[in-house]
Amino acid sequence: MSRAARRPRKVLVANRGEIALRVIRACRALRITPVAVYSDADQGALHVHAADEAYRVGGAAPADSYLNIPAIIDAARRAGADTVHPGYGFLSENPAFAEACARAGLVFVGPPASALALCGDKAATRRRVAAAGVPVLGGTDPLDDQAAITAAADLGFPILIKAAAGGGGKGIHLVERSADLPGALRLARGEARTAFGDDRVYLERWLDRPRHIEVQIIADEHGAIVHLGERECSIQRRHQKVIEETPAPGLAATLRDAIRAAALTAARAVGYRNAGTVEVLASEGAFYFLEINARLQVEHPVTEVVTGIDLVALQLGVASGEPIPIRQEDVRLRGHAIECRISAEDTEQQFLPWVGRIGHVLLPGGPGIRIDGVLAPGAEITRHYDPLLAKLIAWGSTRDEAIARMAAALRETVVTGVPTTIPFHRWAVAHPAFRAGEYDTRFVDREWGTRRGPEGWMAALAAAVLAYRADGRTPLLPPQDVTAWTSAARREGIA
Amino acid sequence: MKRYWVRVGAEEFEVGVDSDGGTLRVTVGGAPHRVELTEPVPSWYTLVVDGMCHDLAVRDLAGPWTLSLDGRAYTAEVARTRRSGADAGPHPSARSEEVRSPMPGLLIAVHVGEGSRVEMGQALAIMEAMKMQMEIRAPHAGRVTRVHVGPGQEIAAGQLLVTME
Repeated sequence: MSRAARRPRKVLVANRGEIALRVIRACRALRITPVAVYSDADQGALHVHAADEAYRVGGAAPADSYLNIPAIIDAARRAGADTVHPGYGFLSENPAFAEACARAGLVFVGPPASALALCGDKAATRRRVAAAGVPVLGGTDPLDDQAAITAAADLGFPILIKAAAGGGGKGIHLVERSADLPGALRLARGEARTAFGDDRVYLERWLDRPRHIEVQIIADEHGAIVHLGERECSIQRRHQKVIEETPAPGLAATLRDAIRAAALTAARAVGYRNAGTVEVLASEGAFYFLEINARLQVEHPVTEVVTGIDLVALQLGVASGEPIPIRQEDVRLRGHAIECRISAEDTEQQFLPWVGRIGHVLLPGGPGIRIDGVLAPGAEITRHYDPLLAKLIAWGSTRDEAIARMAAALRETVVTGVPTTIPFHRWAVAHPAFRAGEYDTRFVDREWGTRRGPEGWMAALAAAVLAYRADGRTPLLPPQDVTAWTSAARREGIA
Repeated sequence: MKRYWVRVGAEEFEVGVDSDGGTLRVTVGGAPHRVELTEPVPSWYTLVVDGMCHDLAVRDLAGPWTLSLDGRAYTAEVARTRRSGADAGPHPSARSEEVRSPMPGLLIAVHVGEGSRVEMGQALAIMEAMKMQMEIRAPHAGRVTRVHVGPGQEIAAGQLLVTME
């Protein structure tokens, strides 16, 4: 069964953006040679700069590059890599890619292709997990539009449409009324087709005020499986997480223990290996299994911060056949961690993703602050990729301290050139319900619209002061040529 | 003392600004404030009003200014002379006959053609950016008089998509 562990020497990172950089950092810590791949849009990207070798894999569109299996396998061969880390998204949960790696003699960092295939089929996973005794949420198998309309009438509204091959919130639509169902089905199928090449969707019952909880697990090929605590991910917009924290606040000890135990049961039931996340919805003292995310999650850093474990390093070790180096009783969760995802989105316009060029960047610091990001001044944000720019992670010995550090870090962070979600995060971490740990997945829908900004007179004052400044400026000196010295001199009345 | 007449939404404010080289002395509707404006990085300001810090960024200086103040977007029109009576009324909002793109992205499909009759909220087109698709809906019932774009086209934020009547 088990083979002799062979530590990776050279890892090809089949991804881009902050997660590619994250994997490269783990490689460095393990003295493994990292290899990057890039599309035409990412020639100057930070993950290319950080790697020892980099190979072009195709055009800007994901299908031409980061989803291009032959090009990525070819890059691994040219680089002489022995291992491929897929990051999250793109090919990370694609069984065909895992098989292609195996055929090319490459270690794929993730579960075996069979487990990927099962976890990718949400309805089949649900049946398997339910058979193992874990509660699941009512729902359907993948179905056509006509069957969906009939099934929705039985399940009742509101109802969720989900992509059968889904992940990352793509293809998920909440439908409040039956009249909206046909249009929502069309959108969900379109998104699913673009994101996963598979437009099958299914319906799921909607719970009132549910909390989205997930458990980080890791399993090795020697039969060991360990959980690393849970994460609370209920702060979402467009069914995508934007703030995550661990441990989950406001979860009764018995429910927390039951969710953690069910996560291990679910992972065993599907023959899971390597790092994965078991997602559940918790509502009114009960919980329901949702799915297994067969990859490293975007929000993995909060778990790393409270456990002191480098999850990517752990993944690489387990993938190469090593046993998990820790036992369940050795896992200690220390303090509290929160992550805010900073994306290029216009919070004033329904969080619409934005394209453009990043201007200037000021990053925060101080005790307990970690940044996983690719915030390079001058970097171009294209419509081809996810608008995630950086993840800001704050640790504190208590939840209150973690929130206070996060609030301070968000104040310090400046990104110009594109709108970002920073104003949203500043609002959220100051919100009384968030501070009390009492929130659910509808928090943003319910509360964001009620926020208050400065009054109109303050905006008028701001505009007038900017006009005054422009009027006082020598027209021959465009603003970008004004150095800090000359603007200081002008303020002092010297120049 | 310089005077500005600033329209924010439906309200107009008379703002006076004076400087002795350091702190600005600003009056809004006669009420005095002490103000500092610093620029930690280009085009990103810290506005200190009576000791309280606010983030200020300029998003767009074409036409009425679009400002971001503490993360909220404001549209401000600055005049250096008092507007005449006829001009001083509430500003008409963007013409609702024009359906514009709310975001930059790729146009996936257009469901209507010239002459199509549409209901309020009916899907006119589908756009995609960062793998997210979004329906562009009719703001009111009416007739499509012109379709300005076609499927497969790259669209800028604010670009005119459809004209209706």
